[in-house]
Amino acid sequence: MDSFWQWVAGAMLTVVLGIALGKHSKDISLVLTMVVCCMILLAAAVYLQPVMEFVKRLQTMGQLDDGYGQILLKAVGIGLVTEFAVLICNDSGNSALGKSLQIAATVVVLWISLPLMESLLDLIERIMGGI
Amino acid sequence: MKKVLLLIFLIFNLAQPAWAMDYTAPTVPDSGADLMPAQTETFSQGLSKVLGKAIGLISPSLAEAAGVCLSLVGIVMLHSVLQTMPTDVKKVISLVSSLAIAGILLSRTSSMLSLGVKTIRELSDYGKLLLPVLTAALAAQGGVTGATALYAGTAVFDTILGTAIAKLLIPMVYGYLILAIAGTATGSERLNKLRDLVKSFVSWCLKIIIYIFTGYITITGVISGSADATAIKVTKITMSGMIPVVGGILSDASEAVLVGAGVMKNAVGTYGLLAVLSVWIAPFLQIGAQYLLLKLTGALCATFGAKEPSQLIDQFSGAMGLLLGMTAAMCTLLLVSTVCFMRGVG
Repeated sequence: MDSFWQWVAGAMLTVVLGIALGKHSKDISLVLTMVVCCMILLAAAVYLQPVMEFVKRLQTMGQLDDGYGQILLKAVGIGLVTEFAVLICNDSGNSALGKSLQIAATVVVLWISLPLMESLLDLIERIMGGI
Repeated sequence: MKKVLLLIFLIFNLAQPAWAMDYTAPTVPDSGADLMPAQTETFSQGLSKVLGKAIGLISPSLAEAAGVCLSLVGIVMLHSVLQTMPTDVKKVISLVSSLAIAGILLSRTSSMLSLGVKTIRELSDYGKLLLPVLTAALAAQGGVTGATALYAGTAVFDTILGTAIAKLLIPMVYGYLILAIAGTATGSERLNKLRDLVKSFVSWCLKIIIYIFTGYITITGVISGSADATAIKVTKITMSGMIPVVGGILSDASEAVLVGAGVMKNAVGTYGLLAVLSVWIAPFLQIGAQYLLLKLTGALCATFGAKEPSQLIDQFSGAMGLLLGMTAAMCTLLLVSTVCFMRGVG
């Protein structure tokens, strides 16, 4: 929990530094922001790992098909990375790039979830055939 | 001598064999045979034995259902990780998690619906065997009009309810589930309204059939019951007044026969009630447990801030609720009519 306050403090400090540096060199300010963002995300990933393990444990308890869990994990991972990248793009003034990244992420998430949709459709077809 | 022999021959020839009527309740179907108590002194004892055995039987499936609910919580936890994000990617991930939830729950709900349909069919089939026996027993007790009216009404409503559930309501529940999945996936308000309409229709169909049946049973019970009681009283008075010397004895003897028939009818009725409960209770508890677990999971998932997935789970629990209503309606129909048969004349 203590490290969370350190991240907050680090983020605030980076904002102040970014503003100060931004007057002289915008590039360095942007790189600094990106580096600190990466560091915070990597640190957060350490805390996310036990949560993921807990979710996997829940799935094992429910004897759930591992395919569903894998698809969701991939989708969430893609979502998190895309969010981060889009925010950096927007900060640097490349909102068009950010928007294209969002579209690309949406398409990829839909692509990886195709097996899930197919299995659901098969199930619906089977049920409808049985009625 | 020839005349005497002829007389003896005629007497033996005219004598007809006579035996007591045998009213035996039909054997419990296989699905309820394990729960049916072998011997019971009172109905309440039998009921407690049936309940005790049923709870023991459903425990493994309850644990399995709890496991599935936990995995649903896991999915919603994953989904909730992205809830605070500002971009549109979370909408697609919400769609994926809703589809995953639908995939997990649809197969389970489908097997529960099949179980419900099987139970309803078994109850209906058992009713078709039990009710004629009760009708004959009630007629032997003097309630000819009441027995005929009750049997006719119950048979008609049993057929109507059984057919409506199998041919109309169960397919509509599947339709409701598919509309719920589509509505959650697309976020379409029209689909959600259509889904609610289907649910209301199923619920109202069940209510209307049960209301009409209850009304019919109440009216026939009052009218035919009093008609039969009057007929028995008139017969007794006529018998004791018209037949000289032995009229009073015959009238008292007929009273004893009627009481005997009543005892037999009540024994068959009690067995029938326990048999119906044995067939019904285990699937009902199983579906009920699923319903409650899904409600609980829906409430728990709502605390993660995952609106769509928790709504979808709630809608699946709604389908379980409809199925509970259907099995309960069929069981109520049989229980109420059996109790009406047991109530007898008067």
